[in-house]
Amino acid sequence: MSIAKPQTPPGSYFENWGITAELRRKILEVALSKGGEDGDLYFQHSASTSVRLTDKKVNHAGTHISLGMGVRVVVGDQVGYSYSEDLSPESLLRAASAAAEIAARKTHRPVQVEQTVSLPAYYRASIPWDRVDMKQRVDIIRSWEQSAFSIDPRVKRVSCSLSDGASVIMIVRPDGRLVEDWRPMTMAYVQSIVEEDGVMESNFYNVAARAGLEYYEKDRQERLYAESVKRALIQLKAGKPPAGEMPVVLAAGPSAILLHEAIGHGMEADFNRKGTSIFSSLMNKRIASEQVTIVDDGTIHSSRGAINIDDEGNESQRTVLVEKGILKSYLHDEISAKHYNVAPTGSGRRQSFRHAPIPRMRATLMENGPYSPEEIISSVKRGIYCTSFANGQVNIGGGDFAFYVKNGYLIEDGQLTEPIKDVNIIGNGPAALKDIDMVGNDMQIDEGGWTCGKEGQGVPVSQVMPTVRVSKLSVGGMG
Amino acid sequence: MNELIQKAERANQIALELGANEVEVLISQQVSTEMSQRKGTVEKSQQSNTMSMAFSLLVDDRFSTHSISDTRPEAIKPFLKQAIEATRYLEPDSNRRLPNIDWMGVAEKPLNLFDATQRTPQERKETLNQLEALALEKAQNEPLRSITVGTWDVRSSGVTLCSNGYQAQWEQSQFGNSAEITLVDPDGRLPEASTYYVARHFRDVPSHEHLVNDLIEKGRKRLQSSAINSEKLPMLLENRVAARMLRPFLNALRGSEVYEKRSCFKDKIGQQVAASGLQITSDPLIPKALGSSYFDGDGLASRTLPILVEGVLQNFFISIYNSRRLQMPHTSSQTGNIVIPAGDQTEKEILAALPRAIRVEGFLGGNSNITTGDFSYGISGTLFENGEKVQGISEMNVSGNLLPFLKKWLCSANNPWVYSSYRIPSLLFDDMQFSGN
Repeated sequence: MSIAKPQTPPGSYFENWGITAELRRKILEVALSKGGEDGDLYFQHSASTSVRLTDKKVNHAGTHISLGMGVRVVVGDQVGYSYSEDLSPESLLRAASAAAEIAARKTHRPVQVEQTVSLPAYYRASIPWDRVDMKQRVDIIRSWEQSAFSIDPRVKRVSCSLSDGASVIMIVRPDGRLVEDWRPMTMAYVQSIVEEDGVMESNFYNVAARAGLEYYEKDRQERLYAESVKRALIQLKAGKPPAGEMPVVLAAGPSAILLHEAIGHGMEADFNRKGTSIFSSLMNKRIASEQVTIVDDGTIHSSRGAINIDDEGNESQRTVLVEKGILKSYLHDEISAKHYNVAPTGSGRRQSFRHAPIPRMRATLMENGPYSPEEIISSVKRGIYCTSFANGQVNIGGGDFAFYVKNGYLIEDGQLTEPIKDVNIIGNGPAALKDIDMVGNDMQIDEGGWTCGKEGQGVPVSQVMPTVRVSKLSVGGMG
Repeated sequence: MNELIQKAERANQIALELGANEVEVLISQQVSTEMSQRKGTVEKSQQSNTMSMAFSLLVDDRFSTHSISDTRPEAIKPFLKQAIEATRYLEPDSNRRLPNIDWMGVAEKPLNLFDATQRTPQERKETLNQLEALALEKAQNEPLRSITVGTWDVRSSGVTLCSNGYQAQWEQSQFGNSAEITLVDPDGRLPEASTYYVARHFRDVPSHEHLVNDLIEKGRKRLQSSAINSEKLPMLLENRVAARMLRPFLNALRGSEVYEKRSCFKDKIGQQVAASGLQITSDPLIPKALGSSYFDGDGLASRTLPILVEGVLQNFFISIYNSRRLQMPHTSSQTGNIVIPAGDQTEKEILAALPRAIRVEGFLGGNSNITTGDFSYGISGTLFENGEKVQGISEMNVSGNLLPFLKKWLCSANNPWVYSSYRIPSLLFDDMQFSGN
């Protein structure tokens, strides 16, 4: 079950539910009737399908449809928000009326005539999911399972899932902007459980993108099941690293979790305009070495974090946050952009129509530096090399952050030696940025299905990173 | 509620007519309001009124689940038609059949999970004003950067209806207040703290004074906190955060994890897996508690389940599906309130008896591997020596393995936390590995 890309003019799709231009105008007028300065209507229709293989059977499928409208009213930095899953005019007007209550002013902003905003195309699907039947989905995950079992006799169980979906969103603004976007997404996951001498281990690999079935090219499918098995087998031999502070080398790709946690959230301008981010007083100051340039980019084609337009109707962009170590910009939604008197950065995102937009990351990346990965590893006398990650978290004000390493290796005298696993690494954002003392020349986008959580909202993001060395971080090892 | 039942009956009928052999329909609706305030003005006010419909379908012994928020009859029929057609492509799994109707039911004990109190927008605003004013007053001598306060209420209800004739209804409410504080350290760091209290009944939410005192105390503890050198120390795990370290243990007891051999406790029933004094019970039948329910996910009446008795593992959480796969008796498809009995001593008494210990008061990142039991979490807290506070702790990790960890339990304090489904007191564990500088 999926939604085909609309072939009708923007604004027409939701007319299937009676959402005409006249009704949209009426809802906005009610929303602004108490003196709201600005606002938006956010319509969303989403459909997704998942199939799952466990116990050697493709024995579970799920389909989900979500439909509704959120209405936001803004007065200064105050937000009134309401949503409805019932698209009848009465229900939508009731939601608008509830959101309007945030305002109590006599001025009345007029609603302008709608003007369609044309969009770039940072994602497309040459084989969209609405043209893929259930049998194709079943066959593909069955093949992953069989391939995973064929790799090594120590593989005892394999679970696979394939999910896909698409949303059509429509944003209507009082200034007349009308935006309609179609957003595909797919994610695949393979988990392998291995056993040797009575010891069990499990690990996984996943891939995700804004794409159709064409995303699952042969190499990617092979990587999906082979990496899952490889990571589980490594776990059998892996131990805990020693505890305490040491140099940490982060492998290219998923290591951008460091950027995401150590700096990315602190760059979100809602925290900064409230003065609660540790970066709120550091604009145009040096926060990292000259090797470090950090960007948040919503335009990487087909990446999980790509957006043609943000959820306030502002065009996506490549935002330079840190240029050669100097803090250059925050990530803005319209409220914070107005506060700082700058243009929005296309970073106002929301999980769904059930949420108001807030500044969020898209694909966070560090630009290449001068060193080869081999030079970086060989520079470390005693430390760890981290290759795969599970999750992270940050305290915005204090700047403390953490990320969980699933797999890695000890580095001893410049060589990778024993594998390590399941260890939390903790540090302080500004300090860690300053401690990035070697940046590699092998920038790589991670293909994993990252989701960023903030204020109860999850949005898809991507991670891009070259190999880097952080001269010291605290490793949650043993002994 | 009658409208929900009728909707569920109609949907059930449509699914059967379209070819499903067995159907479970769950319709739920929720009305919620959430407000936050900072600097005297409402920062965000959000209201929602939602309804969703979820289906579990068995079609020729093939199983699928589906949900839709567009509950109009004209939307349901094509949705179910597609869902049933898609299900036919799957492989049969007869273990998914509905339970025998004779096993199904609801707990008869009144749980009192719903409070009909309706607050007006003015009352919510007044709550915010009072909370903020009180917090600002109490923080006047602190290096304050920001205070944000919040209040919310949620009322939800639903119907579960199965094609075998089972029907159950539920209704519950939640009320809560919250506050966040950001302070300024001399070095420019902005330590932050937050607290919240939630209850099923409005009158059970603690006073504003209680919440604000808690906030200020938590904020003060974060000032000038830092890491100490790595060492092994006793850990007093604060009651309100203890769930974070116990949840992986309970997750490892789920029937699916046991069946898939992903659990390090898969063969430990009847064995001593924890210190001999440690008792853990899953109790979904505590009136007004946040983890209480009349029936579990299979539609069986909720019941109390011993998990650890004197440190010996008693039960897994086995749903009907997993009981058939594992050929083990069904216990419960879900956890209820997780209860650990209170001890005799206060936290202060426990800490006073320890030469050096860390009281863990918060977590930052971290995870666990339930196949091996390994865990590693970032922590914040306080270092104590002989009951005296030495310094705030941050940027440190605690690491270990679930199997020895549970055996390191020494005692529980006398302060069970009741504003969560984990109703547990502060817990003392010996010899924990903390890593820092």
